[in-house]
Amino acid sequence: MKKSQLIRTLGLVVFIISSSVLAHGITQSQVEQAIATAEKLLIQSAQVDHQWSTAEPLIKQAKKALQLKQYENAYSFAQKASQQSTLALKQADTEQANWALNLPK
Amino acid sequence: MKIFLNPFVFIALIAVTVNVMATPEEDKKTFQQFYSERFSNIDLDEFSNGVYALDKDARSQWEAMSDFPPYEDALEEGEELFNTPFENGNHYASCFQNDGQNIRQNYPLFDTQRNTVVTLELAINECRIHNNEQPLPYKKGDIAKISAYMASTSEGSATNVSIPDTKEALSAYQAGKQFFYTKHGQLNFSCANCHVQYAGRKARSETLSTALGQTTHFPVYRLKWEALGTLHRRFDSCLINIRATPLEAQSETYKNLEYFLSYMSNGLPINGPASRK
Repeated sequence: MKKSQLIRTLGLVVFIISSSVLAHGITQSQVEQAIATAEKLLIQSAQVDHQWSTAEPLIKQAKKALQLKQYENAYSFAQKASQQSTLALKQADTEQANWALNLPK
Repeated sequence: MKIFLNPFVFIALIAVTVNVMATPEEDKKTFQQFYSERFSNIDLDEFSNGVYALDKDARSQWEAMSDFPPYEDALEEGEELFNTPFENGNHYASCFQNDGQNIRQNYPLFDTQRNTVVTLELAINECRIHNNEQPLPYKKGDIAKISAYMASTSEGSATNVSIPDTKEALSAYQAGKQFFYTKHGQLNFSCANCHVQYAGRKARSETLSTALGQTTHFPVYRLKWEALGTLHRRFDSCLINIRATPLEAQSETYKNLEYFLSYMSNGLPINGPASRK
């Protein structure tokens, strides 16, 4: 292989790798941050006895995808986990005011 | 603000506020009256039989099974465990009033020294610790067998849970009550949604039991578990069904929930252990 061909091939490889990351804008540190946020929200929901069972498996999936360097998937799982716990916290907050509506009339 | 000027909304809000502020005795009266009116053909004591008070077909199968109850061996083991002395020579009987016989109906009780609810299973483990033995896992196994034996000695005795006139005891009761009526999990269900509003109706192929009488027959042998399990284990199953994460057995939240539920069943006969699907 000629030197110029080698450089072109390497350039193409670098371009493909970098574009796959940059096109989606998801980096490893962003994934780690997203997982940390999801874990924090999970703990917060547990502290008010409102943890949803759907959140923790999503965090596990995010961590697994992170290990496999599937940043986009990992980020998506972490975001979904955060969303579940955010809803759980909202539920806890809403129910503080509304639980009595379930009392037998 | 206009909505509050609507007389219907105003009356509804007052009604809810009155219920929230009600005393435990008033709550119990409303609670039991609710079921008596909805299931007017069922005697109050019958609610101790849970879903089998409501579903005739399921009841005939259950009664047939009761000739040779699946918990029989476990119950015998429970009696043996209860009577086996600890290494220091003491027995479980030494930790309980009336030597642990015919006391199930008084549990859970509120310990005014420690300001916490004490369930029978917690008392069993505290007895072990007091006698230098390791505590048992709370949800199944030996603790369920011992608790089942103790429950069997109370058969027919009326549930008699009391709430001392202290701020802390009332607060524990209120916390249990609030948990019972609060929606949890991704499916956004409260305990009350299934066991008050929809009691007697179907969830898939199963009839939903009434909350009244739910505590009288524990520990139960569930065919699904193929073993005896405690009430807190059953709480776990309910929370899992609504996609909520179960809590620790004997957590303050579960203990308070048991306290509230048991108080609601005051007057109903103890009939545990029992078998369930």
